[in-house]
Amino acid sequence: MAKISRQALVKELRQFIASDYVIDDAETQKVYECDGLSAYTEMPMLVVLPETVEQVQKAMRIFHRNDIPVVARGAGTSLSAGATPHKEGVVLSLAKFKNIIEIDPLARTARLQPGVRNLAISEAATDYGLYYAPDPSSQIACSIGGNVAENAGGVHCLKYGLTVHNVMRIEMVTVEGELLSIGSEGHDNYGPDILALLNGSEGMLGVITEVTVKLLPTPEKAQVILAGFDSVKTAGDAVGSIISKGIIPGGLEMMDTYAIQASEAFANAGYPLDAKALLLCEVDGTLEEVKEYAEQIESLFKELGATSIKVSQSEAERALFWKGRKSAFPAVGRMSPDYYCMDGTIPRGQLSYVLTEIERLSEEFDLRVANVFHAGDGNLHPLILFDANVPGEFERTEAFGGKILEICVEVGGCITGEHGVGLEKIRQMAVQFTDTEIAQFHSIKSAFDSGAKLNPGKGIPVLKRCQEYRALSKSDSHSGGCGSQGHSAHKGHSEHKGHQGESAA
Amino acid sequence: MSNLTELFIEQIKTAANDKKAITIIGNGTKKTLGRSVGEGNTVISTSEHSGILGYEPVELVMTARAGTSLAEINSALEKNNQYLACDPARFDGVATIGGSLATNQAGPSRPWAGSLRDHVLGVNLINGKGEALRFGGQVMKNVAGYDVSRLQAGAMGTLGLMTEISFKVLPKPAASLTLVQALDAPEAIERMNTLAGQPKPLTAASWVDGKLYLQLSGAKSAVEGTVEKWEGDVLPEEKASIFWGNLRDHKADFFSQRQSDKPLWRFSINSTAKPFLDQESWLIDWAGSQRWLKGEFDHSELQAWALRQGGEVVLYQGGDRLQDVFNQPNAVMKKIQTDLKQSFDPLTLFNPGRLYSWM
Repeated sequence: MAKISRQALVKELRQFIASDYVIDDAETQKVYECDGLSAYTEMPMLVVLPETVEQVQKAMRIFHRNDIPVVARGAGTSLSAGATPHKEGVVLSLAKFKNIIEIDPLARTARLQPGVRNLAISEAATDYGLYYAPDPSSQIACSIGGNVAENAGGVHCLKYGLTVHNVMRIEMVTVEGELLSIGSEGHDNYGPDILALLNGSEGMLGVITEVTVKLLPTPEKAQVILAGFDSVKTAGDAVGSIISKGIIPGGLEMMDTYAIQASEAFANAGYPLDAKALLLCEVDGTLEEVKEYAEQIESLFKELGATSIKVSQSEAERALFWKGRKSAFPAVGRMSPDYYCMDGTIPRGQLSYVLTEIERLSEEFDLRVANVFHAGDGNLHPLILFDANVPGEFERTEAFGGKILEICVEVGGCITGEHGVGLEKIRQMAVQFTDTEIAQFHSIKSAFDSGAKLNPGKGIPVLKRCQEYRALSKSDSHSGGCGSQGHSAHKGHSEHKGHQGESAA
Repeated sequence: MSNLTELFIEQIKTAANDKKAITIIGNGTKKTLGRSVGEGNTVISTSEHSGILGYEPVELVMTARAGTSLAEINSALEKNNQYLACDPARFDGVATIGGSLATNQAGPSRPWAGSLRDHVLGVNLINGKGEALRFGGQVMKNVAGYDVSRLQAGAMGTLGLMTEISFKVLPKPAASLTLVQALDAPEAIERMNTLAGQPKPLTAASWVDGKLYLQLSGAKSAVEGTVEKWEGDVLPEEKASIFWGNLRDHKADFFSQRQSDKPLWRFSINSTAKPFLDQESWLIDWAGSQRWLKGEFDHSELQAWALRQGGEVVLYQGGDRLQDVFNQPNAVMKKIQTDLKQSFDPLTLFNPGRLYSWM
């Protein structure tokens, strides 16, 4: 329990943080009750929006002294309930940290405050012919601090890597309020790679207050080859064939029938409605290179029996082809009152098997599912369609989703490729990791936050709950509660609208 | 060529009972890196714990035991026209994948291709309690739990004994050409950085003995198209291959011949930093961000300069190796690192003192 009353805390914070930015009334707090996964809601004790690093440090010292849980929050686009408030804790919003501190065009780096939006980085760098490569589909809204916390991906990961591959330095405030710099303006540092550890640590190790990222030269050209196939298997084989040819496309996306039809209805991108699978393959590089690869890929698709092929002939057409894919989530959302986005990763060769299993489960759970797949890097996003107003349907959806993640682990994959564990997948951690591994995670956490006050209840499950979940899972029940203390996961269903309009990678 | 995991667990438990520290060693190619410690330690060698356990060329993933030599790995990849893009130092092919990850190796293409930390997907390791643990996996994207696999990069075996490593591999570029041009250091640094900002297939930029070397790799049309536009003479293919191989393996004259008794310093700094001291003392790699310096210097003075250039310096070879040779973290980070070490290795069994005098 906190050692200070809410009233006393508010008073202390208002001594150095603007009154309006210490939010203690329920009405103003309401927008913070959830993140992009709106099925999980919780009201915090307090919301604070500091404006300087010194304020963050000072506030953290007060929270630390009083044993108050802290949930750091960026733009709140997380799809794993990573930023859901803690009811006895504070939401520390970094929304006021919106400045691009510096762009160094010669060194090709950008120094950013954590609240800078992902897309804003590339927009600011474009004058220098540079851009920031990781591009989660939420890039118009999501912020770089959150990208680091979740190790965000996007549609260009196979060639350009995840956030972790593109971050050089981080400044963070520790749970005790100390300011730390990790990484450097060079490419590496001897000693354990703590910079890598922080990427994807879901706000559980520190509060990120500054990020330096690498910028890349904007490719001279990019072209998209759009191909329809009569089966998912043929499309999957085509992906393998491209890679066997020695080509690493900038982006390589697959969609199944449901996703194609939904996206086409939404974006009029010219997708083949009769196809069972669609591949979007983007090649980028020099003018010569793009021409060479686009021709090779086009003829490869023909050989493999593509039922339709289109090659983008202009930037406008390329953008249109992507529009369909990038709006796949909200487009699918129009087919159903709600949808639930999963995020498993699998070895690519297992795609046919996994999709067949998902189809079988879809019948078993009596819920429709559309599949969007980062085919290049094996990251599968099944979108389960449901209606939260039908009693029990959300619970059934979660159980279905849990099963999908277990299949991903079974074939050698993992439960999350880019969305993070948060509250959402905390039960499935017990499927991917043993108790000793989870205990190791807890002791890593202790090195940074021995009192477990940073984003408590997220990411790493409590061991006792894992054993319960495994036992339940074996008896084929779906109602485990691993690590879900401190939140009321499914409150407010009647208001739940999936996350239409939000879009993740 | 066998699985020695059980033996390793037993050796770790025995050392714990006997209160003896453990030195982890592969094929010993990086023995001189870090502080000179370990006399009287129990030695655990991964040398015989070798072999490729899984390799799916189309999945772009390989899994190998920690003691597998880079020669074995490279030869298997070569057969499928693939490679380890970060091109870690091979040291006559005997360097192991475990040692390469523990010291986070990368070749001259580092700014573009990354280091092993960028390619590792998962590790199996035994912690100081003798527990065999598995982190990450064999897929490109995995954000479940903390990234323990990448944490091992640069830890020099202080957090555990890695037994298996999964990593990403890539198709070999279809073409590669090297341009060479005489330039002084400040001009070379400016040029490397300017060219790195252009959308061309640049994959290495190094300044050695008064000459700037630029490697272009990728699609044939892209490489040839760029060579036509950029200044410099094309280095014959065989010469180029020897040049980059020697640079990667520290066999260039700068490392092996010149003042070989003098300390070797390694800087990891902002790539655009203006050089100081006389040009002859330097070798510049990674488009300016990795710089090697030979000679007797005051560590703290070099560190002060490196810090102003946004990075660090380490005493890579020679000099007093009983003192700290790596960059020293501040008090806050020191505590985190100490606690992190404790979390993996509560009895401080693994390579104590190798990385830092205090850990």
